[in-house]
Amino acid sequence: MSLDTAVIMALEILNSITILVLLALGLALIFGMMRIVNLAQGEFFTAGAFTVLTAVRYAHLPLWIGMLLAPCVVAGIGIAIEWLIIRRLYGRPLDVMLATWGVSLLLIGLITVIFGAVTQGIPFALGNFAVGRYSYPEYRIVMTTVAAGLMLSVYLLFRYTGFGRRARATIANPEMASAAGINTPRMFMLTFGLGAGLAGAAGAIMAPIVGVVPTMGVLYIARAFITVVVGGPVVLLGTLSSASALGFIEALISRFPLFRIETAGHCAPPPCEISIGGSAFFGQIALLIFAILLLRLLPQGISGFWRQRE
Amino acid sequence: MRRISSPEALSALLVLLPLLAVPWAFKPYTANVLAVYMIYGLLAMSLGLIWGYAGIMSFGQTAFFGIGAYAYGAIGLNLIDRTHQTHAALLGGLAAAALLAAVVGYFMFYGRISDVYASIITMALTLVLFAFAVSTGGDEWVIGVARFGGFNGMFGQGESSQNIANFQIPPVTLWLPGMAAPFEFKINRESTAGYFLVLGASVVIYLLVRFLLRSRLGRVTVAIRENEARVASLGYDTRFYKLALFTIAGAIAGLAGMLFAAWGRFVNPDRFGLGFAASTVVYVLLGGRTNLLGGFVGAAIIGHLTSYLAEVVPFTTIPGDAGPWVTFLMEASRRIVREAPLLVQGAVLVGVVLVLEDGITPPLFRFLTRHRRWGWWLLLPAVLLYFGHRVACLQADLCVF
Amino acid sequence: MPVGSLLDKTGGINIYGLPAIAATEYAVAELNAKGGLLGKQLELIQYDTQSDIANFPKFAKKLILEDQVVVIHGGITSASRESFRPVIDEYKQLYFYNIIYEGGVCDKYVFVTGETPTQQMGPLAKYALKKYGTKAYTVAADYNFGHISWKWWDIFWRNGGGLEPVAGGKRGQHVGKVEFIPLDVTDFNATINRIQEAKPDVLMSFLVGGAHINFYRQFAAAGLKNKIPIISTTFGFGNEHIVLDAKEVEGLVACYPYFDEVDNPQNRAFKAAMKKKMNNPNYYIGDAGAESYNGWNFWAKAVQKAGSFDREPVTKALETGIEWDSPMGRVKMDPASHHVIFTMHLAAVNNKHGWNVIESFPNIPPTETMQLCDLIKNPNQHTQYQPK
Repeated sequence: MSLDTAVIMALEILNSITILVLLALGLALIFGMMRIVNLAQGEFFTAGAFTVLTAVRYAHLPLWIGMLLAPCVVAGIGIAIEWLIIRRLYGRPLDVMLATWGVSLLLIGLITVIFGAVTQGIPFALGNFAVGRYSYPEYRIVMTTVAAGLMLSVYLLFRYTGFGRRARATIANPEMASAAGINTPRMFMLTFGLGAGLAGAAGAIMAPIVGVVPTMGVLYIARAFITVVVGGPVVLLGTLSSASALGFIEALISRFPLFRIETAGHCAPPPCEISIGGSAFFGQIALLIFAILLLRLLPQGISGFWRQRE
Repeated sequence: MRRISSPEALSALLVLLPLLAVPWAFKPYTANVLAVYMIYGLLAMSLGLIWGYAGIMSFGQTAFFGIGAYAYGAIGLNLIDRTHQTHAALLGGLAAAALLAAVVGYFMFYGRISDVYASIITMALTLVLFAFAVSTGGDEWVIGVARFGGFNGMFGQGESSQNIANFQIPPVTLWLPGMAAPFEFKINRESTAGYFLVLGASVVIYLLVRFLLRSRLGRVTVAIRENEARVASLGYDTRFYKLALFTIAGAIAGLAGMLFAAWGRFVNPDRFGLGFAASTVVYVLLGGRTNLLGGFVGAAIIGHLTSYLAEVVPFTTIPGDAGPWVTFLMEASRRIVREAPLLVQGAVLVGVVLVLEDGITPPLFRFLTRHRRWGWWLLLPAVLLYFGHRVACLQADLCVF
Repeated sequence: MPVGSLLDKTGGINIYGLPAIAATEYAVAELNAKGGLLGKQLELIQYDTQSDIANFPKFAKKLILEDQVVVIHGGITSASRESFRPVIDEYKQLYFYNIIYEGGVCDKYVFVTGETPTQQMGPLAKYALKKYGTKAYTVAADYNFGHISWKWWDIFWRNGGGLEPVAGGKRGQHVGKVEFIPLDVTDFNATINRIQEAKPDVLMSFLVGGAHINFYRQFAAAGLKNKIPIISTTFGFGNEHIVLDAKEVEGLVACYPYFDEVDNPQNRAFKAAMKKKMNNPNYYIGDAGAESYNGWNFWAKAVQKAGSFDREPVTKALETGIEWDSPMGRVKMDPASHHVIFTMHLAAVNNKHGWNVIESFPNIPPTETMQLCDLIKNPNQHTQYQPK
């Protein structure tokens, strides 16, 4: 394999990992940390994308303002949902799952009512750079940078700020935190809002590349959950390690066929053969199967496993 | 076996008698539609069983539904020309669904995965099967003459190498020893045998499951739902009981799938889709997961509602000179009606969880129990009268609709 | 007289469904305004199949058994059509399928007014060979339409634009391996890299649907829009040229029997009437809309010719080869295959979210289907064929 192909492959792997990190980060906070199975997470993602669309296409604001607006708007939506619905369901995990599923359907319906079901585009003015005989879009590098930046911000927020300390305390032991004077309901609300905002940011940053349609969240939510579950309870490390492992597998299997099976059937030229691997479809299947296997081996997720060993 | 209580007998009669009378009281299309509601109801019941009674929320019931349908289709298509019956297909579909359920169940329960993670794994299963089923469009995806067909769904391939759609999945065809000719269960202008097949299957499965729940397996599983640790400490192998119930629920879902394939003569990857899985959950939630009939009620209500919305196609043109507010309101309401199925499903989910925790059927049953005299003396005769009238007017061709 | 229509008003497929519904309503209203058919007013009964394939057999049975319609028009994706064509066959119902598809349907009760791949591929192949070069890379949607389109394209490209080798023309060759992409994939990074590796002269796209629109955007973002020209038999059908920007797809070439930009008296009247009906001076009709309109009018002309609404006389009338001047140009029903012979137009995307018509080709028959399907010689066929 030539050098430029190897570099392109490395970039493809980086891209897979970036997308998984973006999808999973907000959910890692909400599910990984707060144990809320939020099936509306995909729609936070969608709402972020639509915020950018509205800003750029309807309010004629520059793209970067739209991108900054998106997490704020979606955080607001998240806070509203937490206050209206999730708050009443703490301690009932399956009911939370169902209620958030309902919220997800309502949001999709609402967005469709407002914007219509057509896929819309957000134009952006970035170019591409050459890698040997290939050209690769600059925007994907920007995406990776933003993903890294988001992770860094979350880390700094939770490690070094008062809010972060209080949030960690509340989630680790709500009663104790409350006894120590922390406003626990407010903490839950703000943390949930933060998780929603992260998803909104992810949706905003991915919108120019993937196109904006009301059902876009549905395609991503499964992978987001799988990444977070495999990652385990430690938010950042778990998400990063899980996204790396799964993204690597997905990119690899999308590229290289594993083996071929011959089947009966009418093909031209004969024989008919099914090739396992080497396409986007098998990349996704490989991700799912690999995740199931990892969970079987490490039921607490990757970071849970590390934590146990310490 | 304890005596059947009066409210239960009343509800059974209120439901069964009309259902039995439908083919003579309404045009064949109604029987057709009710058959599929019952099939969805069976699927919902399997979810109600595993969720309401065993406490495991499985997104994967539709996976077993789909496997049962595809397996029945593949076997049936291959054998129907030679054997002229679908016995092997029926057994094969059931076995395939039960086997998959057993494997997945073993994996989850013997792996000590927590309930929430188990749900997510069942969701992943459905996704994998969906992604697989839609990728089978090419020629190479065949089992004998049964072509998977990807999005188009499963059909039988004709003799010529170029026929991609020549014959459909056969209906349930029985040819027992002693019968002169094979008998096909169809629903059309001439025969409603297919409808009675589905009705019969639903009743039999319902009774079997009730019997099962009173048996040891059922009682232990319900106890596990309440407090698994305690049951384990009493010496029961909880993993085995959970696996057994999961497999049975999977088999029921597979049976529903087979009936579906035989009813529509058709199966396609949408049966593995998240949308269908979501609908099933909504049926159970709305109908009530604390009893077995909830799924049927939920399926009937939502099915009817979405059908109704599909038939209301408001495409009224907004007059060009209408003011901006009128235009906005008309367009908004038009769009809301368009997306109504989604909004309704979402509202049901949120509403039931927050308000109507156990769904519709428990309050209904409570009502029937309290007012059973009204039930026997007023409701039942009213229902009988209505159906009797419909049968009469249909025979005489005097019915208004 | 009840007539039925099964189209998706809601859900993902409604980008094709809504224009088809609008054109259907207009076509029936226009017929009724002219006094109806055979003195009777038409009652249009529509069901929204909600982009859910399970609804098609269900509502088809409703139209047939309860509403007792004399004809059904509808179905959009091939999957939806095949899901209820068995119902059509069981009840011997007259049915019109009015959308572009992969070809090969051969059914006595079915008439198809949508174009088939060979009608598009001939002109496209000849144009690409002349203007771009002989090496083509193909990406296709991973479902039946994509697979069968590829099969025909494989033959057409290698033969230089025909089912048989075209005399005196260049021959095309395929580079790289054809890629089938599932309908819900939105990230085409790996595909775009593989295309660059193969270094084709032209890219043929059979991509379909909302998720696949992103391919064109990502392709342009990788800087390939001006390096590798694209031809397509599917682009534009979902109004992709309206969603995408000129700098993302300008110059892409497609071949359809209808573009709004086609200029003839019927189309001018049609466009004016539709813009009035939809209360939108910028309304874009599109191929789906025009084909639905044509389908209803083919049926209406046959009913008038036969003097009856019953299936058999109407079928006989259609099988005499009805032809007329439609907004698409001249169209003719081929008696034996139940498909339409079109005037095909080649057009390139311009920088105003529209098309510039390059060239028009009259009398392009659906050769692949005509080769396999003769319903006059063998009337008892109810199937769909595909290339060998």
